[in-house]
Amino acid sequence: MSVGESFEVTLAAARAGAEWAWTSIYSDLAPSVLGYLRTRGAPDPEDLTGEVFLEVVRDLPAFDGSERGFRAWVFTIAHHCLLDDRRARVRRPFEVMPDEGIDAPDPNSDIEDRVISSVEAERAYRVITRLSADQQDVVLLRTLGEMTVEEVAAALGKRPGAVKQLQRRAIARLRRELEREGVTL
Amino acid sequence: MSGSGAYEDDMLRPLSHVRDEDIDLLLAGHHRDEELGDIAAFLGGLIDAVAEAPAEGASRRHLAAIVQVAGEAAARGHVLDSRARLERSRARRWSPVLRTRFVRVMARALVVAVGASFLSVGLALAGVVDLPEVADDALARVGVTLPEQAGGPETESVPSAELLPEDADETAFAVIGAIETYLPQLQDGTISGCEFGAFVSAAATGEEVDTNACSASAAAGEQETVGAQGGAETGDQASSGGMSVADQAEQGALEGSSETGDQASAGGESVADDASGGQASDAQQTGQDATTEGQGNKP
Repeated sequence: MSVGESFEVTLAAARAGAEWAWTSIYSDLAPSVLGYLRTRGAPDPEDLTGEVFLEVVRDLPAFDGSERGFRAWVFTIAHHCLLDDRRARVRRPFEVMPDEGIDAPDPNSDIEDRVISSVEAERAYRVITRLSADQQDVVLLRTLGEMTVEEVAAALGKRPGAVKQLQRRAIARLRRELEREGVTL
Repeated sequence: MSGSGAYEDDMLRPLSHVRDEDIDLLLAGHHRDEELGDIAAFLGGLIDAVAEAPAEGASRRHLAAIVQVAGEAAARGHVLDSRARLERSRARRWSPVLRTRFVRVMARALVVAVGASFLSVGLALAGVVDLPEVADDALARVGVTLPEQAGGPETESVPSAELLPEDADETAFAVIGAIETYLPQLQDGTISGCEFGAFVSAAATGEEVDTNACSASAAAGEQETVGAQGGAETGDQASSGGMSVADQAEQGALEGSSETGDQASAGGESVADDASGGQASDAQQTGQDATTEGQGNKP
């Protein structure tokens, strides 16, 4: 997190509603959150990223911890927002989204090509999505969210031992997929 | 197991020796085993590969919404903080007072006093203790009646012929009647104890009342200095003895024992005789003997 040593100051300013503080936090965390949501298959990852940060704003009075803890806390919220979004879409599969305020997609562009711009990112996305859903969650939360095994276990509602098994199997599968594709990032 | 599963097992086997600490290193993009170099490079570059800033328009909208909600939340937080500060200032206003040693002691004393009051009323309600009349009245005013209080109705101590059983001896009725008649006069000083004893004795024996001895005793007391004092004492003691005898007679009569009544009458007679002789100590002793005798006849 680029906020660095001034994290406490930034957090205090964010609690007070300072725009500069939220701009700093958003700029630092939004790309990783968006990457997590997109990789995990959120239908509208950018919109969901905005929802995640609104939830962060609302729940901020309840947060108490370090900069690393804050990042883990934000990714826990992102995971819960992803699950909520999936449930909502299952309940309202034909919900019409309002046009106002939403960037219109480029009709000439494939959605996957539009979301994943670089070749490396496309390969990484392809490899990661070959993991099981739980393995994806564990690997992405541990790498993008920089979360510990215990934090991931709490976010996913699993035991730490189960998370360790998931990450070990995920790495074994990644190794196989990388050898198969010859991908080197 | 399927071929795919066997292949996966083959891939897992080399990782079986990898410790949890090595897994943590891999996820952070580092490695100690060259065999795992590719995986470490992949995981280390994963953030750069998948992380992507939202589109400019989306970022603007997000930040606008975030700042608006954060400002509202901060305003609510200020209101809450103000209330909390107000509460704290009120608490602080009282805290120096409570910190004063004198106030603390007084507060404790007040708590003890209130507790003792409730304890006393509780014991009084249980009939264990007697409250002062003032407290009893105060409780009665609010409809609380305390059992067995000293200020309550007393047991009837004046003998009454109505309480005698139907088969009681006539002597008992006579003794009780005499007591009923002359006791008030004795109490208000109309008659002396000697005379009271004479009346009771007469009722017990059936003979005529002879109060001359009382007059003689009084006269003798006036002539002799020592005897005068003794005469007064004699009268009181005789009265006391007579009272005791009368009580015993009443008790015996109430219990249907004519014998007791007779003995009491005899005792009363002796008292009257002794009192008239100015022998105070003997009269007292006689009265006590009569009392003892009367008690000994109780069933």
